Amino acid sequence: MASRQLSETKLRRRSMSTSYRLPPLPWFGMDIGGTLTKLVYFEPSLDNAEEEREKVAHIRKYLTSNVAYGTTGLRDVHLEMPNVSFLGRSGTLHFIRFPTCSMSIFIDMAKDKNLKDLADMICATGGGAYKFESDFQSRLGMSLLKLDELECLLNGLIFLAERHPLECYYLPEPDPSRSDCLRQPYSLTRQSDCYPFLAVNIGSGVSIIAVRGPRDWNRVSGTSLGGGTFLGLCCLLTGCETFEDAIALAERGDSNKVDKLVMDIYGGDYELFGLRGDLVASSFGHMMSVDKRAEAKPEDLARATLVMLTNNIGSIARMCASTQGIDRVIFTGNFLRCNELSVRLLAHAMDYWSRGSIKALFVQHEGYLGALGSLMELVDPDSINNAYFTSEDGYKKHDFLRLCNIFKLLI
Amino acid sequence: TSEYCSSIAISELSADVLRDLPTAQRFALDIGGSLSKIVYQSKRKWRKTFVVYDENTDSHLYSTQELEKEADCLHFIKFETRLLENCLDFIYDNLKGSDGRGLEILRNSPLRVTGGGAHKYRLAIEAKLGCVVEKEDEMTCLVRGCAFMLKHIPGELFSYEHDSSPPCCFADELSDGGEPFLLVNIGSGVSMLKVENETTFTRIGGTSLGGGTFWGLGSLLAGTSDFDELLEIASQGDHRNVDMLVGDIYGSESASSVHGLSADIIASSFGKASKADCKEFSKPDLLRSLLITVSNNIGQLAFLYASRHQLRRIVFAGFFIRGHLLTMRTLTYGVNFWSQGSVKAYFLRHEGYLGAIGAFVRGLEKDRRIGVLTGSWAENLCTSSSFDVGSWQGMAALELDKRKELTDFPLLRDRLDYVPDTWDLSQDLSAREYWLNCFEASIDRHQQRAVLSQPDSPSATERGEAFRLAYQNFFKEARANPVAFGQLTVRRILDVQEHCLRESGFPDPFWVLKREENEVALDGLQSRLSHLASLPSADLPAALIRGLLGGNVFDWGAGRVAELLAEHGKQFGLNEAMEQLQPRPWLVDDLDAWTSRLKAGVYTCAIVFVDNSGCDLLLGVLPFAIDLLDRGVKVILAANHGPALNDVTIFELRALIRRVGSFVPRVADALSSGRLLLAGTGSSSPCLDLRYVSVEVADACRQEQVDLVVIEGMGRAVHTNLYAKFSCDCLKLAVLKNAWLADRLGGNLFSVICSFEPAAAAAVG
Repeated sequence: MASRQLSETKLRRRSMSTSYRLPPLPWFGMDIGGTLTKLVYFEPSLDNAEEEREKVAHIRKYLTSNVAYGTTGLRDVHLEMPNVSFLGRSGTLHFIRFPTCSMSIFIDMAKDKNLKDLADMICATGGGAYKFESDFQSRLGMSLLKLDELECLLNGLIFLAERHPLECYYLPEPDPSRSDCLRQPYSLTRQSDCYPFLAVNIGSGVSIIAVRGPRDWNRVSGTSLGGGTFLGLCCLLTGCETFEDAIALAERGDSNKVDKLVMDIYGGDYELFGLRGDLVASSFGHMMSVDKRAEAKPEDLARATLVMLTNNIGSIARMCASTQGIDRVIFTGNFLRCNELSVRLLAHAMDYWSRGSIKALFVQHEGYLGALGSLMELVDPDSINNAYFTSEDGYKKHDFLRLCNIFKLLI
Repeated sequence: TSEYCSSIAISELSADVLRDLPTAQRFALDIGGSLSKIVYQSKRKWRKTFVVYDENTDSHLYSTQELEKEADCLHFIKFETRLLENCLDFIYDNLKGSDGRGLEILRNSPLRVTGGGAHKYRLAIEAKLGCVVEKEDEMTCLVRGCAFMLKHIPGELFSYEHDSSPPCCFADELSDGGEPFLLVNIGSGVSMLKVENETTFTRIGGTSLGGGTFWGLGSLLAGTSDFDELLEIASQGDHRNVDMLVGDIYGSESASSVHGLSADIIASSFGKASKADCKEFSKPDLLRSLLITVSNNIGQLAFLYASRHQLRRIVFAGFFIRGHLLTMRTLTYGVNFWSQGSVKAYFLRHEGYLGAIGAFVRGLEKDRRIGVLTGSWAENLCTSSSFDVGSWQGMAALELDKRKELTDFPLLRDRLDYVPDTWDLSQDLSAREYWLNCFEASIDRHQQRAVLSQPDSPSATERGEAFRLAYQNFFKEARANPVAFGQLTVRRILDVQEHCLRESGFPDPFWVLKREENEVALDGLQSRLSHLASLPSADLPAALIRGLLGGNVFDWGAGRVAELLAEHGKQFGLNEAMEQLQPRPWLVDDLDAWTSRLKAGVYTCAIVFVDNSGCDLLLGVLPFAIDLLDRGVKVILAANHGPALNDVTIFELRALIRRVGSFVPRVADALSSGRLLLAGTGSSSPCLDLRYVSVEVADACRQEQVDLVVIEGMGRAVHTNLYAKFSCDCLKLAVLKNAWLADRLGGNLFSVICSFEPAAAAAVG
């Protein structure tokens, strides 16, 4: 399914790129998910570049001089990547997000900034690329180049892992109860023989992809119990309104007030099966009792929700990894954004239940891989040759080789 | 609103399910979070008919005596855990009785208790009953219990089929060459067990998202803690208002075209519930979403564990299911979706009692008393309450009666392919209506006959009424819920009739009639034999078959025949019966093939499953058997152990054959030389389920190297076994004495089935 999808995209790109030229600035990649829209913006450095057109400068200044856009858009400054070389240009990658339900505001803003005058197409992935295609067309006059979600994710992942030495990390001694767990960088590059691995992307829902090589991957599983479930349940149970609030609540709660542990049922360990007494036997298992419900605080409920969903994802991921014979699992997606607790829980659960045989890996730009991957599709690797032979505007072979080097790494 | 959790008041218990408490021999308990179950074994007293024959003193062929006989019974009851102490008090009082014998028996061995509450209530139980409590591991009990139910109760297992009505399809036991399966116990949490056999299993995984999660989260979301109320609310909701669907993310239609994903697949459970959407959510929608979230997740994990361990079957058990349709549907959907149909989900009819019976079995093993369980245990269809799939009342009372040890008939060609019943009335609406009407219309007739069979008993009228009420109640339930007692078949209905009669103290309403018919037929045997002897030998096989078929017309179970018999009385003899038969060619006419095969003289030993008393047995089957003996073929005549309609029982058969021997020397010789054997099938049904025959029959088939199976009569050869295949030659003979049946098979009233199926053909086709 996915590869068929991919070839369709390629075909379209190929036909469009017969007279290829570098796409006009500004360069965006978008990932329109069920809950959040992620935008990656490449800000070229101006030192050796041609004169910037006025409108482009306007957009650049708007995006880079603010960290918040409208009422809901935010720029993750801590994730910013300076001095990145991209399509022969060097510059800075910016990472911006806003709730998908504010898409209309985004379109208004893009209209306001006359984005249409600069480009007639945006690379976009995620389900929203389909959902909002007609809105972009009718209200902005721009088309969306719809790109495969999982391919973008994987491309973005490898791109970052190659370029950013601290991008990928693991917890050598995962302990859910300690907030100061050491993060150890993990080298995930082509040279480090990164395949195979399992990519577990936790957005609103969860996709699980077995990746065996650059072009050799398939979606092996997934679950609807994901980040959307966490936020939805937390909102219902605690009255909180944002993901950040929900995470903050969970950080200080005690799930043992909510969950029934093995020891609550068996009085200790369940020795026959080697289950420790402090393991959760039943998530929310205390909450059928009126008294225990009265005792449970919002933070306890948030914590229990987080622990339940995180462990469940870990459990499904571990089953898939062992079924596929894979021993590295990379967790990505915005559920893990500023969510140290889930990172620790996942790392610990993978280690504990696999008896150390499966390693959990995480990435810094967890939520932006798809958007980044779609940005990279601005230039399709297959169209490089065309780009070289048909370019008329003074591309130097030098630039082309740099481009090729980038993409060779990607392919 | 919900029946499942409502307490069975202890006083009600005393009247019914706990009535045999004073004779209880052993107990076991399963104490769950909300419900507890007790299983106990008692000695029940039954009225039983005994055949007595004394040639010197009796003017009749034989006489019968009704005596009370003790038999083992297993009783299962459930009640709310909060009533545990009341229940223990009640047990104490009953066991104490007048002499305290019951308590003494109870204290002889430790009381086995399993379930989450075993730990919590241990001391309370010990204090109350003065016995030692031994905790039994929950999972071990579950596996034992599962094996017990699968072994003894046919149709225990079923799958949820959304497109069928009713949506459950009964499967045969899970005994495919002992292939291991995944047992998923959904209690507060979930345990996944790989079961290799009844004693060997491994816990291969689990999840904390279980029944407790639905219950706990549901209580938080709905503000009520009643588990069944939560399920009821959930059944009214629409999860699409709460869950984020693929269509919500992709825009409704484009998604399916691009990704091959249907737009209504759930992308994110509760994904619409964040405040950003500024929506009010209804409780039914939230609970529906929660139920689907939990069941889907369990279904997926179960599939993952099953495929990891190469298991093709998943059996779901635990309090979370409770026969609740939506739960079963979602679990099944989850398994089907992820496995693409390569793994199948099953459920159990008596799922709630697995732990209790498992603890009981464990107790017997530990006390080295496992002999108590030897034999087979059959559902008492009169005293067990119905299984109500869809209203999550699940199973209430259950009683199992001990039978002789039963086993597979060794000559079935493929035991796993064998389906005894020809029509599944659970799924076949028109067949169901016809047969329920047909049998219900006969209630009065059976009631009368039952009362008349005990002219000396003052309570007979009252018990006759009890029979009628019990049997009528069955029809009411079966109409409302065709799977109330597992798969509904003609065999099942006939079994219910026998169980209700027996339960009301009428062990054999037909005994007088059977004796009369036997006496009349016996008078005609000599002339029948002489007539046959006068025939040219070439004509003999056909004449014997015609006689056998004519004999089979005499069936009080068939309405039309009962009329004929009543109309003509004793004037209606074998010859008159043969005139009723369809002229040849018959509906199924393998007479010539059979005749030539018989003449080839290839057989060593034949087993003949006999049907009705009187003409059928004595003028039809017996001359046929004598001819086989004359041809040097050994013969086993197999008759029911217990009475059913006017079918001859093994005890009557013995008396009859002995009497025949007194004037037919060939029969006496064959009997004394062991060439003619009489065997009890272990059954007391007008039908024949070859998965459950007596060890006696099975052993005889092996020892005597039976190479011909003869099955006669509508019950044994048409309602059941019509399509049964055997590893040796088989002759199926029946007269269709029922218009519906004839019509279904493409014939008319009194059409004849004479189906000869050689082993070779059976092996090919």
